[in-house]
Amino acid sequence: MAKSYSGDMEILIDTVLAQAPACLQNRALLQSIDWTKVESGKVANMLTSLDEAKKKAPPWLLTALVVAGHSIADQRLERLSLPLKLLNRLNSADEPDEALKTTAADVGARIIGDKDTALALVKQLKAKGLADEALQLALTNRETMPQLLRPVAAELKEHVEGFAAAKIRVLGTSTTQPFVQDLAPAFAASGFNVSIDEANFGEVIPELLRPASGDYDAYVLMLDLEGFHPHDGRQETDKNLTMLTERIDLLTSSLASFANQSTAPLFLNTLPLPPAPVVGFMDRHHADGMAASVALVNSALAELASQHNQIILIDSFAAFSDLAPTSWTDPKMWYYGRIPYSAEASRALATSFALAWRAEKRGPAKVLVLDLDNTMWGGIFGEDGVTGLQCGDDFPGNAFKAMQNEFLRLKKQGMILAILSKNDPAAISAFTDHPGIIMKEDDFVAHRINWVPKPQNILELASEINVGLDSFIFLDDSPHEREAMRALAPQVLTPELPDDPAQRPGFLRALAQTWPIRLTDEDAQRSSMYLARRKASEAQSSATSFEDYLAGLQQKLLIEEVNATTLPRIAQMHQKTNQFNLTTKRYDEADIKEMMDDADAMVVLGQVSDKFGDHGISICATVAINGKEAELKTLLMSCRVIGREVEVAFLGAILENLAAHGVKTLKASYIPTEKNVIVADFYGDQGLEKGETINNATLYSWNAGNSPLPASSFVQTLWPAKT
Amino acid sequence: MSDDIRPEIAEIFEDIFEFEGDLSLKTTPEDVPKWDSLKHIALVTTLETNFDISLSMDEMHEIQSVGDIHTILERHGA
Repeated sequence: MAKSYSGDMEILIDTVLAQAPACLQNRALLQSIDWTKVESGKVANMLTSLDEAKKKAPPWLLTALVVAGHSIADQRLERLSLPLKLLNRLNSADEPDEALKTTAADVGARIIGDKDTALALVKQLKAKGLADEALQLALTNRETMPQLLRPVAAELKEHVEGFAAAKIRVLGTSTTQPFVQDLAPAFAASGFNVSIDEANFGEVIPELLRPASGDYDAYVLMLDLEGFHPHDGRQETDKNLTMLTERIDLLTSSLASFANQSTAPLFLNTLPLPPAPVVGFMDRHHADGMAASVALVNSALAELASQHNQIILIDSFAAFSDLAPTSWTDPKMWYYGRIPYSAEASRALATSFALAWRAEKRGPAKVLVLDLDNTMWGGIFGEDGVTGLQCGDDFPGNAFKAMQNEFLRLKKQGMILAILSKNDPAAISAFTDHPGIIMKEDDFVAHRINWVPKPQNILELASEINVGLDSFIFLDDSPHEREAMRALAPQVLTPELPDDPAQRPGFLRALAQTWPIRLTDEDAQRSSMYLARRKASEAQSSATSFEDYLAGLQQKLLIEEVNATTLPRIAQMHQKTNQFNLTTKRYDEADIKEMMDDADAMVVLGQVSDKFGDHGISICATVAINGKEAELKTLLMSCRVIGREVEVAFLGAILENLAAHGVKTLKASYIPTEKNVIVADFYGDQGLEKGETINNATLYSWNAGNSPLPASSFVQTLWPAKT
Repeated sequence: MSDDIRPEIAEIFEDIFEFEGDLSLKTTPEDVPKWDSLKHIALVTTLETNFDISLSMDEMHEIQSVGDIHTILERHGA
């Protein structure tokens, strides 16, 4: 233990400990103690004094002691959770024995309720040489407690190196970075070592139409409503609906174009329902309604996914099912950095994408292995007999019948069912003799009804059916059987089946490892809701090219020189822009003001708009003029309009204007930083002549009359007050 | 590292900013090369998760130094 209390503090704490029985009433005194600083002898004395006073040490006190690293007699912890008992045993163990390892493997698969316990467990498991179990626990609980991954960061890194690699390109309608951070642990938990490239901010349509080269295994598109179709209170209703429809058409036709040319799949999420309406009670059907908009987008995506095997839809409703509807977004993060989903929602979404990728690569689990007593039916065959078993239309057997319906559903989806029960072999007769049991013996391809340990039985089953253990799911109501399976056959997925039979059918449906990802073509033909509609739309589907898209955008670039009103924005852009920034000179307001007042300097800015709306001041440049020579000091542009030739039109307009004022030569330079690599070749691509590189800056020049004038046919450029 | 700095905060700075230099209450984004606006988001999210608190937009803006983080944690009783 790091430090102990000393001096006056020690006297104070000793007094509280001595009065522990009385202090239980006023628990704040005991709760305020940092138990890591109290010697074990004093803790033991305190517990003894409680015994002598005939008071039971309460769970919160025992938990605090164990979390702080103390070890306590097992019997005191009888009523406490298994994870806490494990921690307690680890605290006193020098070297974990087999029993402790078994328990550790079991606990590693569980969701832990208490954060302090979970964190202490991860650290202790690691300290006692059970690093794999520590990592497992951290991965299992990473959605609610991401901080657990910290102590095992090195183990995680080493662990995933052995995993199958997945190279992924992430696109998004808003900021994707925090979400990207969540993908690596989520993919690791699904058994993949992921490497990720991000598209430029908001660049979805251009990426879909011209997929980035880089041998990506998959594309991930994070969609959000505000990024996709911003809410604009000024908009007339019919205009709003028109814009939404146009955006949907553009997105779906771009996705279709992507699916037709890409061999890699694209995963995207549906839009979650906003927690509050904008048209009150009419939100579901009014053309301005948020819920109505979300429904339009989602049904268009569903239709598209039904037509293209390469498009895989992640249902945000299912992804966020453990979150309160108000918690999937964190408004301050939206306003700060256009981050559409809260940290917890982002983690949940990452998990869903990783599970879908796993299903894509490995398929859903293939074999479902089922226990009989109190799993298949209520009651125990050996004690209650066939007639005493609960299963049928009456309470409580109806919950077991509902569960059997789920088993049959999975069988229909192609899953193999098997029975694994420690039981009298005659138990199989219940499938024939019990009127309420809807499953039949031949629904199962194999059964093992005997007294052999289950992990051993499942190994035999695996070789008999010839399917790897990592495609097995094992459902059993007994915690002991689950623990044995996790310890001895860790490849088998052994979920924590809820104790309450009423919870089980929903639990099994939510188990993503059973979810099919795509049907065969014939299945799709038969089952698609959109079959009829597809036939109608096939006739009118038209190819979309990137050029068609740019032409259709109807972009306008309005150029003007800076004034007192626009000055703060120009200074702000110079401070904040990292990617499309040729020289990254961080001019502030004073610098810009000076240039504004200087006859030999020019500060120009461009406002960009298109048919979807106004992007505001998105590009700017500063120029120093010296007679027939000018120098482009800075040129920078907001990420929002990258890749649409706005920069080309802007540069062309500036050059044209300078030439009209007698400038013969313009000098420009590119200064590389960690973040502006996307503009490394910008000047060269525009036909400027490349010169030498001095002090890290690559120089370029443009000569009136000789060099070409950059121009874009996709941007209508206006410079009304041209000087 | 001075005694005024909570060890959890030093850990967070190591994780998010890969910063292993000396932290003081006066440490600002100027002193921590990777403390940019994007990493600031990760900082706030991690503080919220690890200390079980919820920060406001103003508080997000208010964090301009390690001392500010301590002030805010104290305010939230974390």
